[in-house]
Amino acid sequence: MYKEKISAQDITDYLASKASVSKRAAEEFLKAFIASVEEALLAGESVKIKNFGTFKLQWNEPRKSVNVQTGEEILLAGYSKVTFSPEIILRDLVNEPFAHLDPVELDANPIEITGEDLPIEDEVEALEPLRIFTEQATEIRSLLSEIQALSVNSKPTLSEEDNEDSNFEYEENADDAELQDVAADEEIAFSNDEPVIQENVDKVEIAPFNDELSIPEINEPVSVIESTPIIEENALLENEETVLNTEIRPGIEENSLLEPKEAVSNVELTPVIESKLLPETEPVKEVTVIPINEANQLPETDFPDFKPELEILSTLINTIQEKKPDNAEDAVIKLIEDPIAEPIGIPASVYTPNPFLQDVPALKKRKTWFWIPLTLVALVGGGVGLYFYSSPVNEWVNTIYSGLLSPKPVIIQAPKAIVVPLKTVVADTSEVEESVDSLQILFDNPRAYTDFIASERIVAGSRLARMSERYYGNSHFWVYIYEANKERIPDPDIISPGTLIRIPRLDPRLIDASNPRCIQKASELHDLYVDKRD
Amino acid sequence: MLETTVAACTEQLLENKTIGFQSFGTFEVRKKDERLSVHPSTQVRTLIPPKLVVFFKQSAILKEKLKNLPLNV
Repeated sequence: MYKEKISAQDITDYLASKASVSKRAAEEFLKAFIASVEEALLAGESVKIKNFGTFKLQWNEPRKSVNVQTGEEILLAGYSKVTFSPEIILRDLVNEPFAHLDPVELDANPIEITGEDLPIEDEVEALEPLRIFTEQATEIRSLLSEIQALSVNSKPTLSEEDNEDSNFEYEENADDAELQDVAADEEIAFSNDEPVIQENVDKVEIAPFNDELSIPEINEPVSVIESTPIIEENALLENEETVLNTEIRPGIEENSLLEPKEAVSNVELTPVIESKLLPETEPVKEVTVIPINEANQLPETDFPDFKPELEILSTLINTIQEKKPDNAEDAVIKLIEDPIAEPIGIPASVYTPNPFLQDVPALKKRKTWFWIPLTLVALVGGGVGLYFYSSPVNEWVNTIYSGLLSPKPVIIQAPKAIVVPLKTVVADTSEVEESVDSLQILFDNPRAYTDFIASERIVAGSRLARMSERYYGNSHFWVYIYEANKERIPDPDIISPGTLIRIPRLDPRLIDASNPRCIQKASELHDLYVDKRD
Repeated sequence: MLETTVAACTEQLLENKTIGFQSFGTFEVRKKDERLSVHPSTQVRTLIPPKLVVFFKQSAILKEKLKNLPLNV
């Protein structure tokens, strides 16, 4: 680059005209100025000129060197050197033509840069707790089925003996419950036709819910989930009940099962759960009053009564959800759980879970219901950019939204929806794989070589791999050069000197040496071409 | 006066001219090419864009003067 060189004379002339002083004065000033700077530097000081820069003395240590001609070692004397470092103002002014350029990190995966990858990872993370939920849900479901079997067996052993005792205990336990007990007693008194056993059942039904009140205060739920015998022990300790009152046991188990699940599944929001639990248990207690009263009029097979109870539960859960949308998942868990758990309190012979299990359309609704809040949160987090950049995600979002728009009564119809989340998780992982594999698409598409960055004439000793290393930074990518010059190179191992080959411009994602997949792809191509020769 | 000098020099430099003070040295604008830098500990490779910097080269006269300096110090 040609540079016009101006001397001190030119500067003085320019200075004189600018500062409107005589040339002589300007020259003298400049001389004096330089002399003073020099002097200061020689004295070992550094000189700083405002808006210009700093002059400093730098001491270079003596060092050994070798005389190139003779090969003998010589010692270069140490010396001082004036260094100049421009001030930021000057530096920026000078660098203005390139100011817009920023350092670029090369190792970053181009897919990540486009913002495709990261939000998806977020989604996967967001779905992690969901997976835990489903695992636990299936666990608990199996436990519940065991308990159901238990309750079927134990039901005939129901007896009246401890009726009064247990009543006393519960009055001690909770004052609220006492009132309801009294109310229930009154009801029973009105309908005297009922056999005594019915009364017994009623009292016992109250008992579990009293337990529900007391259990949240005892914070050792995790051990309870392990095995049912322990639960029974706990129940005995807490309530000082005789073992004969078998009807209570399933109830307690149900409650204690509820507890650990909420505690474990709600990883982040433990304090919230505590506060949430209490309001929930109270309404449940109210709910139970209804079946008790009705149970007096009806024989044991009171399945219809069980339904209103469920509905009330569902409305309760709805209100909870409205208050805390963040805890939608928890609420869902409860929603799923309660309807299952509830029937255990009711004579097990009546309760048949199978119809619910096979209720497929309801299952579907539940699936979307479970799915939407989660995905929405993840998507909003991912941002609109994601929506526009990646077409698979785009379509996916659209389907979700269309799913949102379609009306859904949802809620309580499918108590056995626990199975569903597993499916949604599976569907989701496939989704993720699809969008990540844009690189794979890049690999699979036939490469068109239209744009070339260079052409090179092969000389003796030329290697495609070396060229690849020179142009693409990695020798593995020679296959692409070969692909682009197939008609000129019959055999990639034997390239004849004098051939003019062209170096194609490649998608940077394709030749990302830091990405093992790119290397792998190149190696596959390598095998392909070398094998073809054989 | 000093400020005017500085302003004058800066202006000349921005016009891509080399300023030479015989007894002192020369100022010029040089272009540094883009380069790859590797972070020593994180191994992150970064492409540093090209830039223009002010370069100062001391004159031979100043160099001679400085040669005697270590003896003095």
